[in-house]
Amino acid sequence: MTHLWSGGDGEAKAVHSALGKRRGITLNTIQSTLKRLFEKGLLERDKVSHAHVYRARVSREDFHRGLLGELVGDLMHGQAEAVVSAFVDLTERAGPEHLERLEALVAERRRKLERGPR
Amino acid sequence: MSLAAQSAQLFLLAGVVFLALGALFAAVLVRLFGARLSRWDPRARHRALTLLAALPAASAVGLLFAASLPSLVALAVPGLDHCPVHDDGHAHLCFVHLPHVGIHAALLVSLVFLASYGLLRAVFAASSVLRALRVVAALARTGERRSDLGITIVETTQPLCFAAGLFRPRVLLSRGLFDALSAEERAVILAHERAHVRRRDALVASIARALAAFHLPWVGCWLVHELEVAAEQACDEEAAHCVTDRVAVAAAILAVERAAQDVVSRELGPVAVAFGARAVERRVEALLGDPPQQQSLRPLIVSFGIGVISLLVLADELHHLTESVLSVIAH
Repeated sequence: MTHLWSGGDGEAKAVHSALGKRRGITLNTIQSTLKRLFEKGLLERDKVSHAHVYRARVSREDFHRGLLGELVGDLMHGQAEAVVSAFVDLTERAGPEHLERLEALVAERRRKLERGPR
Repeated sequence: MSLAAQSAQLFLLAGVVFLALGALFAAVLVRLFGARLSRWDPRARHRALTLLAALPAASAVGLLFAASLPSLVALAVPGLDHCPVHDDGHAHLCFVHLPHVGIHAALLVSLVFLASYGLLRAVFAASSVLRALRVVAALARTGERRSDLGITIVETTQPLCFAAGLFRPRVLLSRGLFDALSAEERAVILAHERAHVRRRDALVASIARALAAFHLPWVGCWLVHELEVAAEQACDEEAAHCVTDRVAVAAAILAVERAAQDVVSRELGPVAVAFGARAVERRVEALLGDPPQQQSLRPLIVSFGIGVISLLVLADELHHLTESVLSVIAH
């Protein structure tokens, strides 16, 4: 997907030359992976001569949005939440009134620090 | 039913009884010391809560081992075998003299039901963790790797930043947040997430969540939530140490929380507001207060040592008491 998103050639042989040889993956594996991604709806393809030419059907952003949606959905249901330590909790929000009070506290502390000890 | 199966039933029943005792003991500790614990330095609090999460399971294993110790000794030194003084109907918790009676059928069915329910829940939880790990791995593989910062940037405008993964945790930051943050805020957030990676918080939290299933429900929920807050606060403290400014960490938490307000609450609804208010409030107020004093875990370790020694010394009495209790509830 990364190869196709960055504008790489979508023919199986080209993907194999770009990735497969370096990673020791056979052309067959590349072909079946591309086919699986096509069947999952992540790629689309055109037949050019005898070969299929693949291209991404979803953008990287849409793909990531879907994955994050799945992750946040999972996080709402117990055990999987532990896998992720978010900077602010993905499933918990402070209300606006709490946030304003806390921001005022931080601003107040900043002012005190800037004035320095008397 | 074979004698070995009857013996296994007794050991299983003893294990469940010890587990229940451990859960009750943990509930009493939480009731007595929970409020005091929440004022501890977050790093020490996190360690203490992890130990507390393990208490029922650890006490079940420890008590079962101690209660079986006389039988294990008899296995090694036949001269110390005391079982022949009991009659055959006695609930022998013994590897040498297997009991001639099993436990009551209704009790056996309940135990099997309990064990199956626990196993089913564990399988569901494990599959959900595996799914989350696969999603995290896919995000890490397809995101933009920034080796200079040690992070992966995920292509979304949502303001997200998290450390994820059990054995090889990674820091993932969304493009939206990366672009929106100032250099100072970015430094705070990355220091915080790197602290999660270093401390292996996701792995500890996963184990603690699994162990929380052995607690009374309200204790388990309290433990999981307190552990999460303690881990966040411990990483806040490390980030504050890293950027040498506690107020900057508090400001960064509020900046990300402010950015997340619209996006996440729109999707998840107002149900989650109450919990989040508490966690963010506690973190920010702690950072605006004085730095926490280092807390020694020595009293806890000494208590644990005394507990282990007492169990070994009283193993014989515990063995007889367990057999007597089992004789009453098993039949």
